[in-house]
Amino acid sequence: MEKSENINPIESLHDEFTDTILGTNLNLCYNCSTCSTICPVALETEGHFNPRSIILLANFGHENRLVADLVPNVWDCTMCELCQEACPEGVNLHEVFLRIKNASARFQNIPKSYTSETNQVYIFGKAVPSQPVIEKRRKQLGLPESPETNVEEIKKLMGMTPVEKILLEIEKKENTAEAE
Amino acid sequence: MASDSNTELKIKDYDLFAGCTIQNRIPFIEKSARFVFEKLGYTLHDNSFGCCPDPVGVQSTDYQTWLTLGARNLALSEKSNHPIVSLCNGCTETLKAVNYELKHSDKEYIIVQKRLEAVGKTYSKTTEVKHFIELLHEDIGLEKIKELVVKPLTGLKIANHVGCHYSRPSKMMQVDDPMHPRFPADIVEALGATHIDYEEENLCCTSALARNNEDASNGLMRRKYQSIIDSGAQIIAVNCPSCYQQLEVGQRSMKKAFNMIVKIPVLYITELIALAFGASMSDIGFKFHQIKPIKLLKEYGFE
Repeated sequence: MEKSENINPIESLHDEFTDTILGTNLNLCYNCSTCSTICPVALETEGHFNPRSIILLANFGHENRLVADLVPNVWDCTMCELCQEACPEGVNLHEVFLRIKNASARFQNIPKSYTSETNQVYIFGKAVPSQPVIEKRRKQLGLPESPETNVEEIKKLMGMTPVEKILLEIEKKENTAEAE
Repeated sequence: MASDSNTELKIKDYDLFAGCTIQNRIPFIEKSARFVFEKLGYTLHDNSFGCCPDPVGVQSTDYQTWLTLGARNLALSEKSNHPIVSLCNGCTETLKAVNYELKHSDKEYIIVQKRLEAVGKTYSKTTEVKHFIELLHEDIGLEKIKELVVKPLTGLKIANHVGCHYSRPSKMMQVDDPMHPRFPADIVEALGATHIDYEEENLCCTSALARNNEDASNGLMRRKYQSIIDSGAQIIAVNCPSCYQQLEVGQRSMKKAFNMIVKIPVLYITELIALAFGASMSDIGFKFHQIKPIKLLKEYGFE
């Protein structure tokens, strides 16, 4: 996993889908469509988003389309995990989707709410940090103060993973867009 | 059921993992949970946990960060020597799934352990994690809950929304029936209320989908609300803060998107238990709900 940090996210995703246990697992798909039948987003979007086509594209080496074009858009997955439970072949859709999302994040193709949430964790140690108005409410309710965490330690741990670079590059991209 | 001697041996000290949404946005839910577990004779300890971190937001951004910060939280509880009780589906999923990954992949464990050691921590994979519903249903049991009910919720028609991450992915969560979870409804019934089945009970709250596709999220929520309205339920009972927020705020979105009027109070299961255990609505902060349950509950004799 560490090695993928410095190489093209699409190529490294392709490696993950071919030479690994996950790649072997992916090959078990025989296109029965159970996943797409049970997927609520496929129902609502009339198949525009559907898990079966994502698995098919992953199996046939179309990582570029999944990550660079987001067609279908993996971020439309609502993570209900129904497909994961229902797949008769035991394909690990949960993990396949996560790998595509992580690669898309490295490709800077990620909705803003995801990176801003992760950035909150980086800065405050929590996705929803403590705030004065809520502390007041906690006191009113007779609750103890929201327990503090070691923010520096969390920052240090995040510095050992690829995320620091992802957040930095996305910030850079946003600044450039603003300047233009 | 456990015999009396077994009851004596039960662990009654837990680290409370309230999660940052409950702690820092909707703390009245934490209040009801503390009230309930205290009544049941449990001691909940605070610990310096960070974000779980969120299995949707953070895991989707970077798996390694999610794994490492999750392991840090598990390490903190291992040191305090308490199991974790979580009030949130998402936190439960992260903590259980990180535990699962570390137990099943030596490669990941070695990487994560090295990072933890670099900040003076260590994790030996012994921390046990439970969702509060699991603790109530499996360890404490429905009989014990019934014993403590002083104001039964008789006559109230309650629809459960369990939420996806409570029981799925099942290989990591290992609780209840993963596709048709039943424990939350059992608890609602133990309080004397009527559990109402509705067609879209298993439909996701679509909180994750709403981050990228508001139209699809609204469309699915409309199906969910319509099905609840058709069932005649008066209250939606939840056990996840993301679902709570989505199902409360979503009612306003229905007005905006479809001119559809939905006004059904959303209550946390711990709030319902606290009521039945004798808490007053002001004790546990019912006024902080966006859709106020107060008028309805007064009609049923609650104060």
